[in-house]
Amino acid sequence: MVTRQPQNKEQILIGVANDLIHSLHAQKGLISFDNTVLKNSKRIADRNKEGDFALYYCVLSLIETTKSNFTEAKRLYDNAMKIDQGRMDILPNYVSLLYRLSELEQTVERATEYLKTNKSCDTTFIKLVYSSFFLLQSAPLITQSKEFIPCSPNGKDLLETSKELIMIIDQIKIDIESIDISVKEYSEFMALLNKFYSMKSHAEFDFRISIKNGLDQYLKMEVFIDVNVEDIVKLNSEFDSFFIDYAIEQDSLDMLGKFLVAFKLKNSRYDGTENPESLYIGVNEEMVA
Amino acid sequence: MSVTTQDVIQQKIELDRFSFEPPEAYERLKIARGYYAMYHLASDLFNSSNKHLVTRYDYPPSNSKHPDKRYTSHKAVYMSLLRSNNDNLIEVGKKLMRYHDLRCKADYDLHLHITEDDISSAADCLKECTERIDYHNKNGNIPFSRASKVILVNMGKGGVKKSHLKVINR
Repeated sequence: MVTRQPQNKEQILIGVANDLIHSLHAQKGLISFDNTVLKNSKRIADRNKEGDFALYYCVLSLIETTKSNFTEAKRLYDNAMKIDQGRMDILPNYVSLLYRLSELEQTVERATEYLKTNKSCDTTFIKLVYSSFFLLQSAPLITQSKEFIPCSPNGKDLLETSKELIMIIDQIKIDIESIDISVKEYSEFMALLNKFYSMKSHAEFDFRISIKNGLDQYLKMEVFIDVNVEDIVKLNSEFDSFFIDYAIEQDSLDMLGKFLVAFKLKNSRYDGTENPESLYIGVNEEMVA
Repeated sequence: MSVTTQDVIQQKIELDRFSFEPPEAYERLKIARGYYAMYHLASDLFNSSNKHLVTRYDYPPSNSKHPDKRYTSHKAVYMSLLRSNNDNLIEVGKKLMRYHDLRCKADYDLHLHITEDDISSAADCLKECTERIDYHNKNGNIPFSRASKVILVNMGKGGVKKSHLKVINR
């Protein structure tokens, strides 16, 4: 009979952190969490914090992330980094947090730093890919796509996505310019949408962009999500209000007419659109009334 | 004989009472007629006879890149609402923009399926636009509320808040 070795405090903390990360990655659809489970994780972490103080704060940060309290999660993560600035093993969680907060330039910077030490980390690479796309910056994508070594089917898909985005970024810049949207406005809007989405779902972004340049001119972003149709209606409504509040605060009501977000059911992606998997389906110049 | 906005709205209500084959053609017609009912209802807000008149903008703001590029008739309606500085009407503008996008798909993109979420989104746009425009016509600039009474707070002289109870007209 094999007896199970007792775990030390550090191992226990690693176990709690891994469970929380696994639970975040496994979530589909809208955010949900069991407060009892989170309280239990916190209780175990409190009892074992001497095992690794930096990791302890990282666990607390993951608990707050699960509850979508991203600002508090960042404060806790900053504590972890103060204790040990050289801790690369907890950096991917920080990158995820920066991404959820839509601090996109910081996300690219810290993701690049981490990918130098781990060239196969899917979860960090995807944050770099999407952040670069939201900023319409192809340089980090070109560099990291050469360095990234995919070790899973997901990693291979991600590398293909990155290559597709490198090809379309310059075209998108030209196309948005044709409808009077600047790169700054585009990035501002994408950061806003990403921030909203992060508060609603822990699942990765699944989207498609098109540009209407007929009698109406706007950028349309379809976001495909694994929920029911009632949630779709609610999300569209909540995002409109979120966007309106932002535009009023920024004194930029004109921006409201430049972007349209449509949250949609996952299977609505296959609605007959040519190349449905494409991230950018181009400009629709049909002159319709 | 001419028809009124109310006739167009009634047309949409009557349309909801029956159906025909193929179902997708019926759904496309419902989206189109619903959108036009709301387009006309919103357009009436700019009518000088409206008690709570809203400013209509036919051109983009002067600080935009092409201030002389006239809006199309549909865009002029939703952009005027989006630029109205009235939270309730801004919401209507955003819904109308979404509804117009769905209407264009229903009328022009025959090769695309009208999905379950398109149908639900259109129904939501119709409900919200109707309720909010009706509210504006009855209550003007009083912030939108689904309550029967609201407390309005104004900043008086010397920063003293003044509040009073207002009954919402339904």
